[in-house]
Amino acid sequence: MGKTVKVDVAVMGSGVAGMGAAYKLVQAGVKDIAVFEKYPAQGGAVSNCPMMFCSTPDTPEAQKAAYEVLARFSNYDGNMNLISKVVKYSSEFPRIFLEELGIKCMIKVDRDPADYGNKRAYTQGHANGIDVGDYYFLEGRGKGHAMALALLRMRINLEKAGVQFFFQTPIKKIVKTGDKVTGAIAYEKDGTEIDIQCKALIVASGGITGNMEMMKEEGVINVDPKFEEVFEEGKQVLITFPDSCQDGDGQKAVWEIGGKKTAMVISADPEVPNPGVRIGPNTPWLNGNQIKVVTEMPWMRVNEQGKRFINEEMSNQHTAMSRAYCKQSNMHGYQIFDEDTVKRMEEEFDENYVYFIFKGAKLSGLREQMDASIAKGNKHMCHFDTIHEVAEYMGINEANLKETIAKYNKAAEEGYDPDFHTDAKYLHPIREESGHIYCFRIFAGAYDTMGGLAIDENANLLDINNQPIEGLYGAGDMVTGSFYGEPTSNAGGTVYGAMTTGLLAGDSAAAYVRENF
Amino acid sequence: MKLEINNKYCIRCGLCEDLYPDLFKRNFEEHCIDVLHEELPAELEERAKQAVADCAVAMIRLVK
Ligand SMILES: Cc1cc2nc3c(=O)[nH]c(=O)nc-3n(C[C@H](O)[C@H](O)[C@H](O)COP(=O)(O)OP(=O)(O)OC[C@H]3O[C@@H](n4cnc5c(N)ncnc54)[C@H](O)[C@@H]3O)c2cc1C
Ligand code: SF4
Repeated sequence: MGKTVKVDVAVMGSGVAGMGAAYKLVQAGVKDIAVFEKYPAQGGAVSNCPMMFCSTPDTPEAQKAAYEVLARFSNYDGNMNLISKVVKYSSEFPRIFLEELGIKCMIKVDRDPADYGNKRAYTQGHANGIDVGDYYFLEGRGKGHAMALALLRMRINLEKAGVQFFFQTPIKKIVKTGDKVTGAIAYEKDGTEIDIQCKALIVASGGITGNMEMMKEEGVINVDPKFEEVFEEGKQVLITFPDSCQDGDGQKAVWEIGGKKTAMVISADPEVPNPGVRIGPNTPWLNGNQIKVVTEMPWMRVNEQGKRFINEEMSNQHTAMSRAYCKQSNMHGYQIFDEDTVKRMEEEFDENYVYFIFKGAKLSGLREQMDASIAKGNKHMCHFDTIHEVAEYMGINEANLKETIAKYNKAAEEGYDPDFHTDAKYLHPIREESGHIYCFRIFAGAYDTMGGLAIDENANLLDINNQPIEGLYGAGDMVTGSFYGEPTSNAGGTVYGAMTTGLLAGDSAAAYVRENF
Repeated sequence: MKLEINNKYCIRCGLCEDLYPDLFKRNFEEHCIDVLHEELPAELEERAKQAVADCAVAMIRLVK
């Protein structure tokens, strides 16, 4: 026998987007709210890592500057009104996370609005998204990550406020009556069907990285069989969710009722595969991982043909970097540097340097860590006396590599890189005379996907005619293309994009219920 | 002594398994974390205490 759950608003997914929506629904005074979650716990992507967020201050100057960066970034393809709302909602983060949820901020990086958009990935700043505000690096409990703790606290607060949570109860279908969404169908773990009757539904079920088949079908990852092995190996490192429920259920359910389908891209994290690289599959954020520190550095990268292919400053702009790797003939990039560079990193260190989402660290014992990994059977790194040995071991075209290095060294000497315009301060010559040459083979690992669905400026999900579907809202990674532009290229899944759209969806659904029922 | 995980609120981040593979194992079928020792061997007690301190959301307990 099936069950019936009758509520004002149902939410699909309890990631930052779904929880943000539920939070706003409660604030707006909506009485009956139910959150359906496929996984046994709340948090989604956030329970796997994130520890920093970006927030645009609520001053006209900052809001306008952030808006302009995002609009330009989207190639004026994003919904401009949605962009300004996203920017505005982001200003609520410090209040929500720091004040209401009591999360401590470890480091705050204040940015001058006049400089927004000028940081290209690398440097103290932001990898995960765009440079449109201040950065807050949060302190977690124990060795954990703060955003997960924040969402647990948020869930407890929402439960106290009367929100019902249904875990391990995925929504699979959306029910429409006429033109309006009036419900959904979910299933309990034992298969019991739940008939959800609601006035509005908010879909926030994240990306599709839990569903390899769908990733291939939708062209999110390369389908050529020659890459099977890469995926197998890549999987050792990432998919960052070793255990996830981001299976694309939300996208499919919305498409099924005529929702607009948009491109999906991976929000990726370039990685050197295991063994010996990560402490484990679940703790990429733990510091002291020298290999991770190094592969974030904007030092020279080539492909298997021995040619550079990107401005290395993008090394910290994970999505762009990973997409560039995916376009190389074997989907790998090779980072090459010499002993002088290692020595410099051991001695000089910019306290403010933040790589990816971690606070920077001085390099120490890189070679020992590499040797330990190599001893465990890792074939994706090496260090030799000569470029010849590196090229041979890694399978890089030696003649081209030598030519590339000569050109690169000249650029370093002259302080000008005519090929990729990499900032002169990041160009360090690669010389055998330094004593040693190092190389890492880097893969693109996927940690989330963005896109699939489109929303308007009220977070109303759009149909194939770009018209809002009544009673149906969307939020989170799955809709970010609507303000980052299509396809969602360089941004990366962020709390900035996911939670803001969640907050907006919550407010809009509350207004819809208030005005129409 | 015995390790216990509060499954209602454990977020399944897997940090405990990564850092203490001798104490915990991720269970992919049930989407939960299995505690490896019914009864904690005395020599693992210090590590168990550290695991309690390290959990991302304070959901590991060491009980008599
Ligand atoms: C390793 C890592 C590090 C990151 N670091 C940062 C960072 O430092 N800063 C930052 O801003 N961003 C970071 N991000 C990105 C950020 O975490 C994501 O963009 C954001 O959390 C996405 O939120 P979401 O709510 O859209 O989706 P998700 O968090 O994926 O939530 C979707 C939820 O829906 C559930 N669900 C799926 N199917 C169903 C169904 N059928 N029914 C019900 N529920 C369902 C899922 O189980 C999941 O809980 C990081 C991401 C990862 C993976
Ligand atoms: S560290 Fe804590 S929250 Fe994370 S999986 Fe282990 S018990 Fe659960």
